Amino acid sequence: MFSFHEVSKEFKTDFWEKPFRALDKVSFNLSGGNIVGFLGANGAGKTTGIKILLGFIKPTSGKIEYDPALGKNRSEIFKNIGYLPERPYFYADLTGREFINYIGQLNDLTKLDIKKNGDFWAKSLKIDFALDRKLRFYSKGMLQRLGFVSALVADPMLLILDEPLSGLDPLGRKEFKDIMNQLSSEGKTIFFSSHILSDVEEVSREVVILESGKLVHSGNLLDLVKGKTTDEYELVLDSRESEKIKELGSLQEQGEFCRLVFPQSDFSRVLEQVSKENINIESLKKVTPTLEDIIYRIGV
Amino acid sequence: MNFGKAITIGKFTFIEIYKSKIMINILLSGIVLALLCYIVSEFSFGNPSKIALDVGLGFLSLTTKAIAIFFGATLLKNELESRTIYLILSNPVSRVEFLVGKVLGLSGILLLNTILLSIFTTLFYYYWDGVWNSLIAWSILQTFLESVLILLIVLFFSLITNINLAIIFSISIYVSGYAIRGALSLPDVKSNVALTKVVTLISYVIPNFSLFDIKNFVLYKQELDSMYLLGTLGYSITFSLIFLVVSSLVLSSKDLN
Repeated sequence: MFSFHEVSKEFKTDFWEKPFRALDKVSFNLSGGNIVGFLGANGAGKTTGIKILLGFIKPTSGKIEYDPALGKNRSEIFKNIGYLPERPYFYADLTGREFINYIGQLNDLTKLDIKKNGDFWAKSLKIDFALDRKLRFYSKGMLQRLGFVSALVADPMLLILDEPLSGLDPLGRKEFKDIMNQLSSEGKTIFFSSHILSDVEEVSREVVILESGKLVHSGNLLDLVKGKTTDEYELVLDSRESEKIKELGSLQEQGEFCRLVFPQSDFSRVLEQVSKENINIESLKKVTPTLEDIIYRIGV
Repeated sequence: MNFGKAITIGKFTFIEIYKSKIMINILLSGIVLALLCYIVSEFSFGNPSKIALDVGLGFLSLTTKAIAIFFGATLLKNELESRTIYLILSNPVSRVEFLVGKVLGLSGILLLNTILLSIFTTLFYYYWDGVWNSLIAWSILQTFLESVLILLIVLFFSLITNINLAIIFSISIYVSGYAIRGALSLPDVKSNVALTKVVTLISYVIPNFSLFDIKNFVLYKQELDSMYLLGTLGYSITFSLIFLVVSSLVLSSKDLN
């Protein structure tokens, strides 16, 4: 869908100060049809990357290339892109319906298509009841939903969502994730930034990770998880038994249970010892890191 | 440049400003104008229709300029600060189309204000047995074009500085532009060659706003050379286009942080 080629961005904070580098030679390629999580801590450069991608700011060096499938010129490309900014702000005196009409008309949709698509997505995102209200009376979550409707109304091939799940309650987050999965199954590409890693893990197949403006990882999420998985096992036992096994590995007390982590090479020895001591096992599984564990291990 | 996109942006800008209760302000202005015309005409001796026209055209000029300056200063600045510009420019719309659309939208409000207050003015003028003169329509048109030019000046300054400075600079340009040609005929300026050159140079750069003020001709002489009127029309359109192009270049090269 698009590629970043050695993209850097520097901001001058003060005339005398050295420029601050928000992005440092970031290169990655985003293939079509996936949900791609754009990760990084606050200030990692995610929003700067999205602003460059959409042409709001110019890179200091490097370039972005769009897939020819999106279109030949800016107008064609942007007809195929839907964008939801972080904390979307709207025209307070327009109604939700007027705003959807506005976006639809900018995308050259017919009145019929605007009504059909707008009503469909407004109903799917449960904001249809408020479309005739002025936007100044919308709550934060309602604005987020309307922003998503406006990003979808022109049926784009690529969706760029900047922190789409922030400001939503758990139910709203689930609804957004369900719709993202539905759109992905229809062949749409979704590129979304988030710092809620569990949400990214739930819906993304690929991730792009930034740390202090530099690319840390770009690629398949499963590969990342497999690559960071160590050959360790985790045994959960009653904490009263901890004394009998504390020499066998790394032991952590967790309330009434204790958690023993040990390498695969000690597997037989540990099980033998547990069996010999007649200890009741609560669970035994291979240690698989969550995305959160991996990101923190990478250092983001 | 796709004018259809600019017109769409203009339409929704107009709706947004229209719904922000500006209509109430315009109607209140109309009522104030009606009261002013009535009171001033009652206390005048001789020719109340001329007084009504004088007050009406003066009030129209003042309100259109005020709308152009105060709404113009925030027209793009609010879009940038509240980031609503992102929602529009992420669609197939160029920055120039966006700028032209915003100007069209606010110009629509200026036109609405001009039409409504002109109706009030002419109604009072006819009430006091005034006689129609085509210069009245020219004066109204000049006032509207002058306000569009002021809007484009304040818009330009709002792109390179903050709202307060944009307002101060625009008012300064207006006052200087109004007075600069008069300054050339001052004895102190005339007697100093270097100063004359500087003032002449500035008079070419800053629009000469005194050209738009034809109220005295409307009220007293009641005739004006048509070449002067057409020339002023071309002058205001040329300066407006210059400011529009310069603002487009500034907006196109600006990082929208």
